[in-house]
Amino acid sequence: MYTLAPNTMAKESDKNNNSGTELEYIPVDVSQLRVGTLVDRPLYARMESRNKFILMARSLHPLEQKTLDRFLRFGHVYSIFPALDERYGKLAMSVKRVEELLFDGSLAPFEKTSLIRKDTEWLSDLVMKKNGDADVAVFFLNKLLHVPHPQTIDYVVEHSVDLHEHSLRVASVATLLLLWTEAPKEEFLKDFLTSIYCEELSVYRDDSPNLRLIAMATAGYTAQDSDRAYSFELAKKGEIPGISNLDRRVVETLSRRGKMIQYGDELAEIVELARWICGGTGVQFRVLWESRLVRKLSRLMNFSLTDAPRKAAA
Amino acid sequence: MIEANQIVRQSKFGIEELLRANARVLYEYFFSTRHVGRVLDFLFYEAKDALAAVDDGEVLEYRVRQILETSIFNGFANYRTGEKSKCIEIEYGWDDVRMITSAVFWVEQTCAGFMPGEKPNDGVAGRIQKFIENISTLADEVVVRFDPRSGRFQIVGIINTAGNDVATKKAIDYVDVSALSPSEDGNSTHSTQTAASTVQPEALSAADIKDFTEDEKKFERERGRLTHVKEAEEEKQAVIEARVHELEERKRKKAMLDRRSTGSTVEDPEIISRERRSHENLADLEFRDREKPSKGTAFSFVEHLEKQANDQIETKKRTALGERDRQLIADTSSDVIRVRGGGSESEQDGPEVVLKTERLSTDEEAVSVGAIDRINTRDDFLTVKNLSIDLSKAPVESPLSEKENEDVEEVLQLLLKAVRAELVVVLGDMPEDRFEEIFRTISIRLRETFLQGIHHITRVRNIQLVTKIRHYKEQLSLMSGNLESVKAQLEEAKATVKETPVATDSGPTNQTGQAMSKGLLQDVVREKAALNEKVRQIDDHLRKREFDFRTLEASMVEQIRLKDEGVKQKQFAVEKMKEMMTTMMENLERYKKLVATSVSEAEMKMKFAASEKLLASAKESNEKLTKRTDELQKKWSEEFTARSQAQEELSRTKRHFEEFQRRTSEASLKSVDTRELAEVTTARDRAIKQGEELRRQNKELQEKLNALMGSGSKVAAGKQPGAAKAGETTDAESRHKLEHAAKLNKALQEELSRQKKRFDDLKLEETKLRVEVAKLQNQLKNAGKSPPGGTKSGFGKTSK
Repeated sequence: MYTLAPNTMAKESDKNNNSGTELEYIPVDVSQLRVGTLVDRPLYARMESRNKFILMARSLHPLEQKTLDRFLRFGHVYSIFPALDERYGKLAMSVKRVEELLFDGSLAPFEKTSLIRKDTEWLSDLVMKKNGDADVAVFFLNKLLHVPHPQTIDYVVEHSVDLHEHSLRVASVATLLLLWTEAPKEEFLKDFLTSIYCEELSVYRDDSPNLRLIAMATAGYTAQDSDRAYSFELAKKGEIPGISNLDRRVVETLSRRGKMIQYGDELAEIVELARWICGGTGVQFRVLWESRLVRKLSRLMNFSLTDAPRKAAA
Repeated sequence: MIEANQIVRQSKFGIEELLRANARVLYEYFFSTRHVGRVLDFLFYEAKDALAAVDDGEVLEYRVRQILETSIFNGFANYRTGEKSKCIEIEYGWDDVRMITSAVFWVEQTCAGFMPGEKPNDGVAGRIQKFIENISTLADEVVVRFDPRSGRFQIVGIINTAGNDVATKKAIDYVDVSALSPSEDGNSTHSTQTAASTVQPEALSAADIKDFTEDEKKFERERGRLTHVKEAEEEKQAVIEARVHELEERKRKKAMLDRRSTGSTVEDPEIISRERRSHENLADLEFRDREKPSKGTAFSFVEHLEKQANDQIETKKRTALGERDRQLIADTSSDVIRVRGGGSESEQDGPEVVLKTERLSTDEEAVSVGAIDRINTRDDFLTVKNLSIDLSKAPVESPLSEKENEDVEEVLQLLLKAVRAELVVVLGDMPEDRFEEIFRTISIRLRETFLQGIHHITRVRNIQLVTKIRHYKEQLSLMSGNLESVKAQLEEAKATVKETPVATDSGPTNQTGQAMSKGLLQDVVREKAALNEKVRQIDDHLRKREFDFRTLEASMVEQIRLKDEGVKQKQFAVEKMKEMMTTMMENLERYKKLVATSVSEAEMKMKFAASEKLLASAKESNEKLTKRTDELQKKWSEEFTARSQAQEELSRTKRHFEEFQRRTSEASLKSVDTRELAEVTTARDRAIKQGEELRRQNKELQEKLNALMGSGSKVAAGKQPGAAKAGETTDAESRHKLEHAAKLNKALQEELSRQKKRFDDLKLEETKLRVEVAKLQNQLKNAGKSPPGGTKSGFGKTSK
């Protein structure tokens, strides 16, 4: 296996790009790459003969075996971004700390949420403010919960790459909000994240898929609530790989999310707020504006709906 | 936990809508019952100012605490199945007139009949019914909100803290969420006595929910649903219930005051400062708590179960509650949950609140009290034995205590009042002294009967208790007897072992021993052989089974391999299909672009029709020209033949003339006779004449031919000037024009055929594409339905 020593992190410039600005390609240690894990930065392979960089793995996608084989064959892997731990210095520590807190049975719920918020306060600036980076929530929860499963992501990516990334962001932000407000058990968090991820994609409906794909590719695709309900039905029935036996509270909440928001269910409000933060369509803004959740977050985390990075994300 | 200072939502049914604008609302999610006490302590610390402002703050705290704890434990006990994490949402808020609690949890959707007075459809509904009844005794008003579609259950307990406005009558209201539309949700409610289908909910503020329910009941009465008799009975029942409730409240207050007289929960300045510090820095508090559990603070909760049991045994002796409660605790000792209300360090062993709830099986807070559940050791046995000996000292008939006598007297007075009211109605016309005499007699008899009943109940209860204890004692004595006998047997066996002499090799004993040992050895050998045989059989059987299993495993592996291959093939086919699909999509896109850029079909048709018309007219004119050309060619050939004949005749005549001249010259040379000369001269003249005649005829023929040729070229060339000058020129022009027309015709035909071919090709391609798309969709659909291990493509499932 080709391994690059950590101290040989030489930076190379891309002479071939046409944009005029030079990109710096940082060598990546191939031995650190694992099949099935979520790729945290775009990975390039370098063709020695032509001195060109080829994009082989996109960020937010699971690393496939054939891609890793190619990397091993090429031997040189680069990225234009530094490693996740270098970009977010507190990430690893926060994951470890939250993991400990989730399994700590000696804490009362309000103490647990308080400590979790304290340990992940730096995330709120990135996720819930303008010009932030919602992807950090994805990486944080992926390292914490190890969901969605690679086979689930593969199945979803087959339908739409762009919507996969959007759904992953929405699901991660919603789960992070849930972690900050309720701090339930780990199994519940996993089910919650996976369910929203599959629900938000909304393109499983099988009426004339070609036309839908064409419409998505050309005129832009707007997910409907009925599409989400249909998608969630598939997840509920276990027809999506990697998902089975969902938690009943998640099922009841997401099956009737519109009604549950009207009833003041906080779980449903969390999903709606995450969709608002990530630039989702058809969000019930008026309900959110009056929701207890937003008041709670504004008090606890200095959150404001108007400061949410909706426009930037959209 | 969050504080809601401003009530802005009107469309939801949280407790915020039931409180005034200066309200504070706290809420928390429970995922286990482990930290209930600590969280509730914190809640009451937050509400200490509100509790201090009320006259009977301790009683209020007690009521709210009991409501919340009962709600939480019942929520966990009756939670629906299939949950990975049970979540109970607790809300707790207050303003200057009310204190409201709410608990939300999830039960089975099929749960029904849980409202008091209804018939529960299952055990869960029955437990919830009792739970609601318990809450209704603690709260002034209870609102139950249930969504049968999702199973979301909410119970809201309302306690009026303003003394003057306290309603004496309790009410239980029920809101069926499924009967409300989302816009109406939270803005309407109806009573249990009213049917959702008949009463149209009106828009009203949730704060006026009590008035609304009263109006509803009034409306129902006016509609005749409740008869006059029922109404009177209800009123009487309400008076009695109110009186009983007032009595119970007074007792409870007394008990609370007695209990609180020995210590304070929130008044201690040390505790307040510590709690404030902990509230400000919760994390630090938690770290400190984890290192060393803080005993005696408001946050303290006894965590070790053994200590809890010991504390409760001791507390039972000192508790300020009545004898009846103690008896109740003793009867249901396994169902008791003990919660410490908090206090200072010195109050660690002080009075506690002991609550009786239904049997709970969820968490570690449910502890058994006062006895050892299972006898495992001798010490356990002795402990139980001593315990039962102490209990046996209880009297068969125990007189009522002073407090119980007071209670009995109060109830009796109440009963007599009710009887007097009944007698007044029945014997209203009777003289007063007579009435008083009768009432006195009745009251004496009633008192005697009532007291006899009370004593009888006490006696029966004690007898049952004593009988039970005697039964236990008998069992214990039997067990102790058995134990003694076992011990005796053990000692005897030990003595026997000690006294048994070692066998020696001497005399007949030796022979007998040898014979016996020989027999024993034979038996052993026989047994060993039998065992070996069995071992062999078992080995054979095992080998056979192993062989079978290996065969089965090989076949299974082969099957798996075949299935994997099938799956791989399917995947490969699916990938190929996807590639083809992509190609098809590209073709489709290209075709659509082509269609978009080319002219429309109607325009094409119009062009085609015009081209056909042009072609037909060109064909017609071509035919006409061809016909005319044929005619002219025919005429020309005829004239040409005549001309050639004339020229041939002329040349023959010329030859005759030349022959004649040659003969004449010969004759003149040879001097032929005159007669012959005359004849020759005549012949010569005749020949000259004939030659001239022929020349004339030839000239006329030539002129005629020229005339004919000129008229034909005029017709063909459209009377071009100079066209009739010569026969060859007219002919060439005609041929040229004919060729031009033919070329034009050919070009038009080619263009037309090309357009037609293109049109047909496009149509054919579209049809092919449609067929192929349908075929691929069908194949993908079939691929999506085939084996469970196969890849389910999103495209494949969708063909129609």
